[in-house]
Amino acid sequence: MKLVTCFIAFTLFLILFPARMEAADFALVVNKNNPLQSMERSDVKKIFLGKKTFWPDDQRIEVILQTGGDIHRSFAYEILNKSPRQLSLYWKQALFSGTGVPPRQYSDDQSVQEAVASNVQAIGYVDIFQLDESVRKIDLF
Amino acid sequence: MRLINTIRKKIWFCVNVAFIGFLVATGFALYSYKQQQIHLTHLRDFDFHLAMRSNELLNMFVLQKNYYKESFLFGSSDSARSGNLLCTKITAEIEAIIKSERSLHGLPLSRVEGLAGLNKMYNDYVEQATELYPLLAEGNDPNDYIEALQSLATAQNELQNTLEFFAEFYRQHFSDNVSTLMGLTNRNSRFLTVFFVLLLVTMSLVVNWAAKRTLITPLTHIKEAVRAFGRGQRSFPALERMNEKDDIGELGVAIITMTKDLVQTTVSKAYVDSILQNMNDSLIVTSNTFLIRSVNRATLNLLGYKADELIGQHMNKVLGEFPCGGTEAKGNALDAETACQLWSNAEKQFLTRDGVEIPVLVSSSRLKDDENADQGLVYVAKDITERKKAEQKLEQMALYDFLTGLPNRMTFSDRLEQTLKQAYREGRQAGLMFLDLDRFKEINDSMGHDSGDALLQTVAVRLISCVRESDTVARLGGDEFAVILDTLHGPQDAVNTAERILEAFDEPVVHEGKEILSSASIGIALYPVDGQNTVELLKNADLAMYQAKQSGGNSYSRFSTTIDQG
Repeated sequence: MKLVTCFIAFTLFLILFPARMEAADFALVVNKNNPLQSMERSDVKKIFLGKKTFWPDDQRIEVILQTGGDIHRSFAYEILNKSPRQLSLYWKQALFSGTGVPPRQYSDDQSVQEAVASNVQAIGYVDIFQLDESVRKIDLF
Repeated sequence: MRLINTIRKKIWFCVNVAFIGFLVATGFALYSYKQQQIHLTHLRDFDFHLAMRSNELLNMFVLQKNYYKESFLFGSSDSARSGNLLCTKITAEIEAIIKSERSLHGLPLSRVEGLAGLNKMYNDYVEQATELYPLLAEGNDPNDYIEALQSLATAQNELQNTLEFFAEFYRQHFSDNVSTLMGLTNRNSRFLTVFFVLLLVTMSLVVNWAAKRTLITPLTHIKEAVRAFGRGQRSFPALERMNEKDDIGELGVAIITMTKDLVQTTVSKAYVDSILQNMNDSLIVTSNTFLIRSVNRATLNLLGYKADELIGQHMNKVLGEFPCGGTEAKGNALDAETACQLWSNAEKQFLTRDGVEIPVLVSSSRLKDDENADQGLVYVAKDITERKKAEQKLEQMALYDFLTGLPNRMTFSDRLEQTLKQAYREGRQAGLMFLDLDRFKEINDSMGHDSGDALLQTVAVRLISCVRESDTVARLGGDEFAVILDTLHGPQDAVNTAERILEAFDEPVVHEGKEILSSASIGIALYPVDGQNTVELLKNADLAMYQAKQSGGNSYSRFSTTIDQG
C-alpha cells in the first residue's frame, strides 16, 4: 500500500514539477480578531494536518481547505510537503481510523475569506492577489 | 522370619523384595508419565488450539480492516466486497473459540462473557461496516457520513484491541501452561530420582538385613563353631539357639550332633599328647627326610636337649652312626633309606647334648596318613644303659678274676691256644710261665684274708708292669698266676722276664700299716721246644714250677733242665 502511495506521489511530482515553477503565491489568513501576527511554518503544517488543534488562547482551531486549484496545490506542496491527493488521502485515512475529522473545504478564495471572516477561530489560505480587508494575513517565517 | 526357613525361600524373599521395589518404581514412573500426558493432551487440544485460533482471528480482522481501508481510500468496490466476505469467516472463528471455551470446565465465567461480548460487538460493527464501506467505495461523499465513520472507527479500534488482547492472552496462556508443564516435568523427574534413590537404598538395606539375618549370621555361627571345635571347644551355645526347622539351623544342629558323636568315639589330641608326654620311653617323630618333627618329654630328659633345639634337626644329630647316609637322599633312594631305618628292638646309640653315647633299644615304623601315604617315621627308644652295665659285669665275672681283674683260667686257656696257633703259623717261639707265691697259706693264716687279697692284687699289678703289652698275665686260682709270653727270640728272654718278676717281689707289700714280704716260684716252658701243644706245655710249666718250689722258692726253673738257684 505504502509502495503504491509512494509511486503515485512520485509520478504526480514529475507531472506537476513544471507547474511548481510558476506556483501561485498564497497568503495564510485568519480572522481579524485573532491576535496572532505571525506563525512558524512547522506550526502551520501541524495545524493543517490536524496535529495542532488549539490556538494559544485555548480556542479550537477551525481549519479551512480549498477543494483544488493552483493555490491549494502550492500550499500543499510548500507548507505540507504533500500533493493535494496525498493530503486528501491523509485526511481520509484519519477519518477511516477515527483519528481526525477532515477540515471543511471551499471551492474558491472568496468563500474561504468569508468563512474566515465569520469565524474567529478559523484559519485558511487564499491567493495573495485576491486578499481583501475582511481577513488578516499571517506572516510566515 | 520363622516362616522363611529354607534357603530357597530366603533367596526368594530377597529377590521378591527387590522385585517389589522395581514394581513400585515402575508404577511411580508410569503415574508421572500419565500425568504429563494428560497435561500435554490438554495443551494440544485447548491451549495451543485457542492460541492459534485467536491469532488467526486477529489476522483475519486486520485483513478485513485493510480491505475496508483500501476500499475507502481508493474507492475500490472489490476490496469492500472482499472485506464483507470475511465477515462470515470471522464470525465462525469467534463462535469456534466460544465453543472451545465452553467445553472447558471450571473456566472463569468472565472469560466466556467477554467472548460473548466480543461476538456481539463484532456483529454490531460488521452490520454497519458491510453497508457503509461499499456505499463510500461507490463514490458517496464521506463528509456526509462522518459520524457513522467515526463510530465505526471507534468500534474497529476497540475490536482490534480486544482481539489483540485475546490473542495475547491465549498465547500467554499457552506459554504459561508449557512453562507449568516443564516445571511439572522437572519436579516429577526430581521426585522420581529422589524416590528411586531412596527406594534403592531401602531395598538394599532390606535385602542386606534379610540376607544377614537369615543367611550370613547363622553361617558365621557355624563357621565360628567349626573353628572352635578345631581348637578343642566342645559346646556351642550359638548353635544350640538355632531353630532346627530352618535349613541352616538344621546344619547347626547336625554339627552339634557330630561333635558329640566325635567326642564319644574318638580320643582327643590332648589325651594322646598326655600319654605320649608321660611315657617313659623316648618318642621321636621325623619327616620322610628324617627331620625331627616332634619329641616327647622322655626324649628331652634322656638327651638333655630342649624341644626347640631338636625340632627341625636331622635325625643323625640324635642317632649315632646314622647308617643310611645324609640328607641328600631322594626318590627311591629315600624309600630304601627309610626301609633301612625300620628296626624292631635294635640296639643303637643315642648322642646326648654333652656328646655321651647312650645305648638304646630302638623300634621304628612308618607313619601313615589316612590315604596310607608315608608321613615320616616314628622312633620309640628305650634307655638300656643299666642293662648294658649288668651285661658287662656278667661278662667280666665270667672271663676275668674278680679280685685282681686279671683274665681267669678260662680266658687264659683261650689266649694260650691263640698264642700257640699264631706262633706256629709264624714259626716263632712263645713262652709260658707258672707262678706260685711262696708261703701264701701262712701269710693268709697269720695276717688275715684281707692281707692275702691285698697281696694278690699288688702282685697282679706288679706282674703286669714286668711284662710287655702283648703278653698276658692271668690268675689261675688261689695264689697261682700264669704269664703267656708272646714272641720270644730265645730262652733268655724268658729268663730275663722271670728275673724281673722275682726282683719285683723284693719290695714288701704294705697293707694297713703292715709290711708283707713274699716271694714266688716260677716254672718256665717254651714253645715249641718244651711242648708242642697247650696240654704239654701246661704240664711242663707246672713241673718246672714244682722244681723251683722244691729248690726252696723265690727262684725260677725251666723245664727239662734243673737250675739250682741258691
